[in-house]
Amino acid sequence: MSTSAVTRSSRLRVPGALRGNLIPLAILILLLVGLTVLAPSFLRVQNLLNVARQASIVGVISIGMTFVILSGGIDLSVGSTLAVAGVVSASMIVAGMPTPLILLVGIAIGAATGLANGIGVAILRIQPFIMTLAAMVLFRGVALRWTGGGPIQFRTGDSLFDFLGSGGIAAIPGPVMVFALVSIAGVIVLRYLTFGRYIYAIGGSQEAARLSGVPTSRTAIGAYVISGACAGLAGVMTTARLSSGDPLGGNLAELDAITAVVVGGTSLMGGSGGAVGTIAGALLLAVLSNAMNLIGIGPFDQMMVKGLVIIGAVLFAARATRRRLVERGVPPGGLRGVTAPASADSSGGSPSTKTGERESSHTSQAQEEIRR
Amino acid sequence: MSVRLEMRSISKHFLGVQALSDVDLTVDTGQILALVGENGAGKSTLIKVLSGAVQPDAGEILIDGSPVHIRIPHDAEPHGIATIYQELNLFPALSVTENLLFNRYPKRGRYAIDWRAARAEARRFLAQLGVHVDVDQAVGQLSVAQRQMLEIAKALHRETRILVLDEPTAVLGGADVENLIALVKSLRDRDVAVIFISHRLSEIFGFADHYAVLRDGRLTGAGFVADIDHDRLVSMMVGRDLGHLVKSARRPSGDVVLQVEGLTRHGVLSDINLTLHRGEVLGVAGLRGAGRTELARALFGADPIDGGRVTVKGRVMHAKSPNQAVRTGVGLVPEDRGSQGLFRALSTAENIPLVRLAATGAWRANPRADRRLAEAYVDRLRIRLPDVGAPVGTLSGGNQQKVVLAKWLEADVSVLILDEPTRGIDVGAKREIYEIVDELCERGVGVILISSELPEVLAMSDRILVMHQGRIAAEVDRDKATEEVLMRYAVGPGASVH
Repeated sequence: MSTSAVTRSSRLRVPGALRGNLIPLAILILLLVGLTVLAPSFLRVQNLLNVARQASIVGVISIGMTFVILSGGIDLSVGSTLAVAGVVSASMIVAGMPTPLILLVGIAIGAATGLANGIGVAILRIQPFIMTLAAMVLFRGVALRWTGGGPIQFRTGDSLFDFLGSGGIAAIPGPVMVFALVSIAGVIVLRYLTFGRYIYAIGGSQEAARLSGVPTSRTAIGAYVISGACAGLAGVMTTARLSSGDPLGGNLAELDAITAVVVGGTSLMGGSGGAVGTIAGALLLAVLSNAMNLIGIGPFDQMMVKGLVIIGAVLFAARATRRRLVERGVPPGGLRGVTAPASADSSGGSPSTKTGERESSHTSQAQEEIRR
Repeated sequence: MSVRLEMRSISKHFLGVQALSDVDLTVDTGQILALVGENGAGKSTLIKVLSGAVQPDAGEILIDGSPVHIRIPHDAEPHGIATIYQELNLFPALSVTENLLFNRYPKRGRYAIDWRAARAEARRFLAQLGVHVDVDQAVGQLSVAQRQMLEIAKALHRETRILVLDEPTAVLGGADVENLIALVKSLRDRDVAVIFISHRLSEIFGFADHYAVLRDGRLTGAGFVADIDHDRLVSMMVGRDLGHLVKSARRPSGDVVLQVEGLTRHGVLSDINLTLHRGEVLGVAGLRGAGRTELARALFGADPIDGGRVTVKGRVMHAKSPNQAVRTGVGLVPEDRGSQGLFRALSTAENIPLVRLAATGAWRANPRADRRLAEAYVDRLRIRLPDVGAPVGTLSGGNQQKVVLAKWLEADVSVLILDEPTRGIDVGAKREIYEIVDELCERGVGVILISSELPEVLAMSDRILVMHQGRIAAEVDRDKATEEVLMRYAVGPGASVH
């Protein structure tokens, strides 16, 4: 396969940042075109900006979530983290504190919750799902305790704080600009920083990463800190948008964020995907609900359609990926076992397995036994 | 005594490798056959043919005189064939009773399991075999030896007539080995035919009736154990043909790059001492389970050690993680490149710079420069691939291994440990990998080469260490080393009688 495939390198070269993200982008564009035909009002600038604004808070969380999912983990606590940062920033604005400080504290709160998650996962070896599920409950409790249960409502004349929620520069809403900034940062970190390369490495194979000298624990903790920080930022944005710190805010935000990441083409197994896809995924979901509003589909039906669209998008993406790999000579499922040891099947049935390889896998497993 | 199992002219060909050619094997009832051979000689393939995991290209299998067809592992049980591998097929969370009688529980009525009867049956059966374990205990809490005996018991409870044991003693020590062997010996009275694979030749002389030796997929000897001695057995095992290997002319310098003193990891490595010079290849030979991979992992900080000192270029290294080892300039090309050496979903261009990034602690990565870098390595190491942006998982084995080596070339380490670097790689790519090793030496890297292929160790190494049961059994000079010498040390001290 190696030599014959050389000729194929002349195929369309995709910019690195977009690789693997083409499908969600294509779906997004198709959806946009279809909508313009069905509901011409969709294309109005005001409506488009509205859609972008709706996408922005979940979008910010999704960018952080992308780091965690790429690293092979999951973060269910982002909604609760959003609430904690949201109610704390509401209290701070009521107390008359300056917006930059509030922003800083909100992000710091998120980073701290992320640090806790990261330590739980990477050092204490608690399963990511369980650790962040516990954190989800814990931090929701913290948010409710902070306000005593109800929301903290306020009025503020602070223009910077207002900018984060409903204001903007010229016609462009503030939250959209924040989302754009976070997105750019996310893309750069994942692509141009060593840390970003490490994220892909530990998500691809924890063991290979460790044996390549990658500081695996530090990298995993970093991913959760980023996810938390993004959720904290989203909390401040939510409070600014609603002029209220709601301890129940961000409920189910973790699901929206995970959906955006997965629809954006990032594998829940970790190791492949990227921030560009997530941006497309978040926008796609917002466009979808906006479109259904414009067409006049009721909220209950909208949920059903949304569920089906998620399944469709993921199936479509998985299909295309598999086809691409088969073209390159990888058997179906060849990459799926990325994290599993190559010789996990004890039946030893694979005809291509060489004798020597089998023998060694016996050894290493037996030695595992000894180690215990 | 009658012939229980007859395997006639078994041949099997895997992608470019003749794993078995024309192998005949006969085992009588109540007889224990010792099957020996080097790593990769074809023993595992042969027993996989018997257990249905591998389909032979030619040959037939007769049980009690009548031909049988074992197409899938599921077919083996009705024929009374049971194979016990080192990684045991037991359910660790379930009790001894549940494991022993799995799917064969005594019933009360149609659906309800009679647990009282089940436990009584388990107790009776195990006691009869002399296996003393608590039937209510979870299997995960048993020792490895107990689990092995339980698995044998399970096979016997299923009326097994042919029992294959794949290196059951490799992971056991002392009294456990004796208990296991006593159990195996008692199977003679039950008219079970036993095939016992072992690397510890001395054991075989203690209890086996017949022997069969495989080398390069061929039967090189078979007969009564009573008619043969340790040295003759060894000489039948060695002499594998791996194509022509040219001894490379290297001149290692006197500078020590790696010094290991008294390295110990309880139960795995004991008191390892070694010295590695600049530009030298130090070969490490030994049989599977001798502790070679464990030594590599311990030196690299991948496993914790219990004692000893590792000095790299005169500085004591306290590697508690591979990250620290990499920063100190020690590298490891792991045994299983698929799951440990590479990120299969990442591209060649993304794989190659990773170790350098980890070693230097650089903040920034530069995808464009990495691409050019990868293209340079592709030219230099003649890596054949469609595009440096393609996932590494899509490359062939030899090319994948070259990418792993490129990772370490790029990281500029001073000590590189290669664990089975040419396993499963075709001959052409092997030669290219040897050239890369020579190039590393020229650059002053000290290389530790762990390999099960003796001709490779002999051709590539300046000095050779032979490991046996977690110790260094011998250090052999390149001029004095022959396959027989190495194998003799690897199988351990000569025929001791049990």
